[in-house]
Amino acid sequence: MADSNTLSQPNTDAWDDLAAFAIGATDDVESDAVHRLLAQDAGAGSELSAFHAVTEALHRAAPAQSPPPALGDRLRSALGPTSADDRDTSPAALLPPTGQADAKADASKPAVDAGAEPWYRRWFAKSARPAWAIAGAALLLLIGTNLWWMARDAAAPPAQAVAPSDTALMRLLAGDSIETTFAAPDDSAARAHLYWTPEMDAAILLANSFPKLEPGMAYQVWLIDGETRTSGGLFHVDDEGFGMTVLRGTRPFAEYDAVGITPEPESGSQSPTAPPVVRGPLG
Amino acid sequence: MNDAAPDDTSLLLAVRNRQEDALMTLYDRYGGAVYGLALRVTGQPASAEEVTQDVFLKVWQQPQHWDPALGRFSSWLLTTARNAAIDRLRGERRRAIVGIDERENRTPFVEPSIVDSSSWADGHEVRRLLDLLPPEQRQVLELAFYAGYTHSELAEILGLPLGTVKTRLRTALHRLREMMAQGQTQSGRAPEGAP
Repeated sequence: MADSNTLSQPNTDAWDDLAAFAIGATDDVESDAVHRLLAQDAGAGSELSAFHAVTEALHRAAPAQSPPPALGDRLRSALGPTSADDRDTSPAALLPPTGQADAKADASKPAVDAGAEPWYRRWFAKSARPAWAIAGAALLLLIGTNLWWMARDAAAPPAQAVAPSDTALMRLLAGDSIETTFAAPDDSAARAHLYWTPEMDAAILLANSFPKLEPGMAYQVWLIDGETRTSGGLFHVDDEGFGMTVLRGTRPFAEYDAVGITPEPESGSQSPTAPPVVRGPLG
Repeated sequence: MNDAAPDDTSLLLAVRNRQEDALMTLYDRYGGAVYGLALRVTGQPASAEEVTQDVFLKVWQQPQHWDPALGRFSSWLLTTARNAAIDRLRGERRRAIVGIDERENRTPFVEPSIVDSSSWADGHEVRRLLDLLPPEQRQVLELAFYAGYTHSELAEILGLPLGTVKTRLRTALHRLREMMAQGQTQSGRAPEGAP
């Protein structure tokens, strides 16, 4: 149904189609022309962005309606098998294996193995989940980071291991945090999002679209203060380049200038040995 | 500890850790908006239910598909819902080619009767702005956005020259954008969804 003449039309037509493209109303040939325009003309990208708010508004113009009450029940019941299916294909490393300083001490912790179900998922599994964990899940397991703290030092009683990070993490999760996004210096799609507060020495980092690393490698986060690089932790990413970790500095994050992330051996490095995948200032 | 409800990012993190309650909180928060949009697109309650369930199952299965750097979770969710609803329309080919009057009688823009929390209040303003568009422009805009028709499909079902359809749609979108910008200037705040 597309107008074949569009193939030979100049960029002015593609420019005219930007608004329709923003809402998905262009035919294939028109869309191809718009893609070419966007690749050639940065102004076209800005013009297209200007219609994102229009698209968003049109989404919201559809009045919200209460779904049938049974839908929520059906959705919840559908989560069980979906969860199991997802476990089979999900990335092995959602949580950080360890920080650099903890690598040796964590020898007793199950390894993050791409071929095995992560230990924390088994721990979360309904069949194995103890009652006290269920009671605490609503808060403590929002991202599961407390498990990391518990596993961080197996010799310490869990309450002692969790307590120091608990308040900080809860504050971060409750929305008191600042979000800072770090982009790739080479304009690749890699991004990292840091949720932090100036006065705390813990933060949550999410990585998106990071390149997949060779076995034995991990990403290491560097907290930068002048010429000093302090390791904030290591993490792996899944097949889609997603990873997350809890960063632990030695000082409040307000005292750091910037953050960088480099690929390093998964045992951790003393200092960065590779160019950063992402890097950027804090604040 | 902060008593505030967890934000979307925190809930998405919990979803990644297979916390069902987190997903259900997101459903409680946005289920009405997703269902309303799906109903607006499909015009069929049963289809809207299936789309809504599929969308939230996608969040459950692939929460990493939302990139916080590219916008708010609610924006991504509604875009996903619209795409799913339109895909359903196209896939099932259930929709007869209908006139705009018939479509509007079936799924009219009306004030939400049940759910419209403050976070969605701007929907009312957008509906008002849509009412200000000339009927022929609003027609192509709504058919394109809510029924997923492309330029050439609109020309075919409306029996209009392709150029006419393209001009009407482009003009409608530019006019809506201008009116939103004017509203922003007058109210001194950014419209919902602004980056």
